[in-house]
Amino acid sequence: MYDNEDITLTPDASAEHPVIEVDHVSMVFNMASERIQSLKEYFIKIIKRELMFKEFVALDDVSLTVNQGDVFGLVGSNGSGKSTLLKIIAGVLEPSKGTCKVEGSIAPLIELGAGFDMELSARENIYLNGALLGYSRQFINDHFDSIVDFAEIRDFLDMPMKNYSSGMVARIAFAIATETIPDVLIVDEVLSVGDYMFQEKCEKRINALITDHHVTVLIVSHDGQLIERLCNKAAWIEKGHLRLLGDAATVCDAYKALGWHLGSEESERRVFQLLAAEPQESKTCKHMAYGSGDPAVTSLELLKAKEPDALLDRVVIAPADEPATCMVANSLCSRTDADLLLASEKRMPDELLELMERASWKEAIILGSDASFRKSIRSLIADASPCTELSEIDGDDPGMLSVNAHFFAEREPCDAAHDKVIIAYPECVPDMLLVMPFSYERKVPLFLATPNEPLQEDVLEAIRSCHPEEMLLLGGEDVFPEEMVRPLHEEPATLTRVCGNGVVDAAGIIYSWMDDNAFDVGGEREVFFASPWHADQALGIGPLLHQRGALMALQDSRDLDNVMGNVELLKRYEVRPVAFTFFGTNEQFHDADKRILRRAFRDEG
Amino acid sequence: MSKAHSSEKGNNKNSLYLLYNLISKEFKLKYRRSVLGIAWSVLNPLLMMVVMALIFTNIFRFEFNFYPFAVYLILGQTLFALFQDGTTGALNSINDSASLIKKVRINKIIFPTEKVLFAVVNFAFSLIAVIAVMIFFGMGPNWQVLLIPVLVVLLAVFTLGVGYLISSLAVFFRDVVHLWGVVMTIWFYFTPIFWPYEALAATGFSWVVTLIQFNPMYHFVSTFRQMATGISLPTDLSVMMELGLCSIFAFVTFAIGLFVFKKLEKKFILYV
Repeated sequence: MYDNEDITLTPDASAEHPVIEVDHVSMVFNMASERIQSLKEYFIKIIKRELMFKEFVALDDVSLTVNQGDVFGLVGSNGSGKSTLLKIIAGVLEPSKGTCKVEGSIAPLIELGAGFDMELSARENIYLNGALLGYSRQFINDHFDSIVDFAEIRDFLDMPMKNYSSGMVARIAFAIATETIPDVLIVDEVLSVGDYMFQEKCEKRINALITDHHVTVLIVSHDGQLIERLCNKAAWIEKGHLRLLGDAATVCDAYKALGWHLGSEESERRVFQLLAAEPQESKTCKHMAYGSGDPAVTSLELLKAKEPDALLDRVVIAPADEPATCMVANSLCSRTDADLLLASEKRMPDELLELMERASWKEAIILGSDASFRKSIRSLIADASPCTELSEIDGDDPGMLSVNAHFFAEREPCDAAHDKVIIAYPECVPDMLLVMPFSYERKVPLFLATPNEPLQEDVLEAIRSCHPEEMLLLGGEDVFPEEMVRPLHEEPATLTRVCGNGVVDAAGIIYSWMDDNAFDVGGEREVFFASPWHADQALGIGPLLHQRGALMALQDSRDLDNVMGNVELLKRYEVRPVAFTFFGTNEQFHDADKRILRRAFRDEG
Repeated sequence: MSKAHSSEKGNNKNSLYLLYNLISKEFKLKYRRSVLGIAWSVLNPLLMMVVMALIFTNIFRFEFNFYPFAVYLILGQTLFALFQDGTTGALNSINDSASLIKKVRINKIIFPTEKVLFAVVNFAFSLIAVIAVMIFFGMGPNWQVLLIPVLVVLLAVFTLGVGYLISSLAVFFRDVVHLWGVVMTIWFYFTPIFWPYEALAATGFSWVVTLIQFNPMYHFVSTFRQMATGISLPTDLSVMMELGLCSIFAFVTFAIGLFVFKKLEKKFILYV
């Protein structure tokens, strides 16, 4: 697939003595073998020439080396192939291709209790299991007591094991398996069975083996924290191929961050190449994050960060929990030169009050269909800065709200001609965000329409009053079916539909549209990021976006195709990012994701 | 903690110890919670013999005047049971140990070997019944009894060979499991156990007569009968010749069975 050099983080410490050498191992399982179980089927298939099979590649050209004394972790999600690799190393399975050499005796802890016969008592099973693991009778006799004491089962020695709890079974199995000092200890997710005390005991014993006897340990788990705690080196295997190889901390960090982030092979490869690249201080690309997870908090932060003289005379206040209203608020802000404040009726922190006192806006426009929200804000402002002139805009539904907001903005003479108009549906926040750099700069009116319903007359009237040249319709056939938008076709303005097949596609369409309309997409600028699934985090960014001249991008970090697709798109428009700002929690934009983006654009500038 | 094992020699020793462990485990489990327990190893052949003796001396009568037919019956029956139980046990041994094979690095040949040896141990117990019957009919031992262990060893080797073969095939083709029951039944009828070979020799089916000479179990069983009773039937070959013949059967079959097993061993885990 790709060379180890691409994804190895630390240079191989060749001074060490290799104990396990996995050399280009591939394991292919023959799916047909599951189905042919009789001579008849076999002969029929030979005759039908169906004996050539569907193959399942469990491991694809994996190579790694474990040195003596290493505590090596194998991480990966379920079904990634790590248990298969473990079995090959333990000698239970023969690889289809490649070789695996292990020096010394192996003690495998693969599913504790293999070989236990539940009908027998613990005493009998200790001898049986010990024999299975290769112990002599003398050895078991000598160590019998120590095994029983570790497992704490002295009182139950002669009861049949089927009556034991799973924890007791795990303890006995672990005790037996670790009674000896092997050269290599292989542990496969066994520590996930058993309660906290058992896990502690196991870890202590494993640690004792490591520190006192320099046993080489190979641990497999999907629990990144465990691997980080116990191991010094790690490898991340996903879907049969090696994703990342190096020291435990880095690999686990990447695994935690990107564990569930999937994409095509190509995207995966590039992302991991970027991750594994040498860290360099990037001169130009800084990043910032607003990770509170609460749009109201973010909005407050943004306003607080502004210098007192930078605050405008006007402010538009909208409810943080109504994304559609916030979008209208953004549009209103652009047209009335106002600051944007998102507030939540349920949470009115003192800082909000402080801000209002400090800002002392001349005019406050309260937007919202909910009367009690408007009332609370009104009373708040009345307390904080009584001199502020208050206006309220409401609407029975999103469509009416957008119309009222439009006419409010129209009261003031406007220098920008309304050659464009945007029509969207309330849930369409991601697309509205993408087009916001344009819509804010050109002060484009925004109208909302309910999906799958005919356009309201008032909305239509308002659109007509703008005499636009072009109407941008954000939504596909499933949201705005042709019959519903027929009235728009009858207008003299051109109707452009924006409907993308996925995030990157939609962004591409919108950037291209902006580019066609004399908006400079490329160049040196900041780039703002939000998650398409948590777009509400970025609800209050309109003014900031405009002030910084930033471009908007949407990234679902879990979709690596999305991540790399965005990178490609931005490069295609020759965007040279000077800074990244992320609107989303750590869950949406982990350190690793930010690192990937920074490094992707490192060569620029 | 100390090192439990390391050398190759240790490995073989351990295999033996493991074998011993597995056999004793099977023994304990076989008769756990049964009232008569181990006595069944003796009672089973005894009861079978009684039934067969009743049928074949009173209902279906064969001409057999050399020694009590009951003794003829039990001798053939217990020895054949060794072969039958050994192979039938070995047949599924790999399949049943699937979970173990998939988790522990183990010498897979241990599984069919253990089942055959278990059958040998059972046979040893059933000899008690044999001796009881012989004493009942007033038949005493003779010097050839000392050769019986040799024969048993040869039969064990033969059974191992067959066991290795069928156990490895059973992993890939489950039909073998179903077939084997039929094969065993046919083989049982084909071996003179409840009917005397003499009777057949008397009829005109000479090709069947000759064919039976190629049945290894015929030689094992008739030799056993010769050694135990000290009486040679007219159709019997000399004990030394028989032993030689049995050895050939045993070692050739063992070689074939072992070869096939070793060849297929590595693929077990994929199909089991």
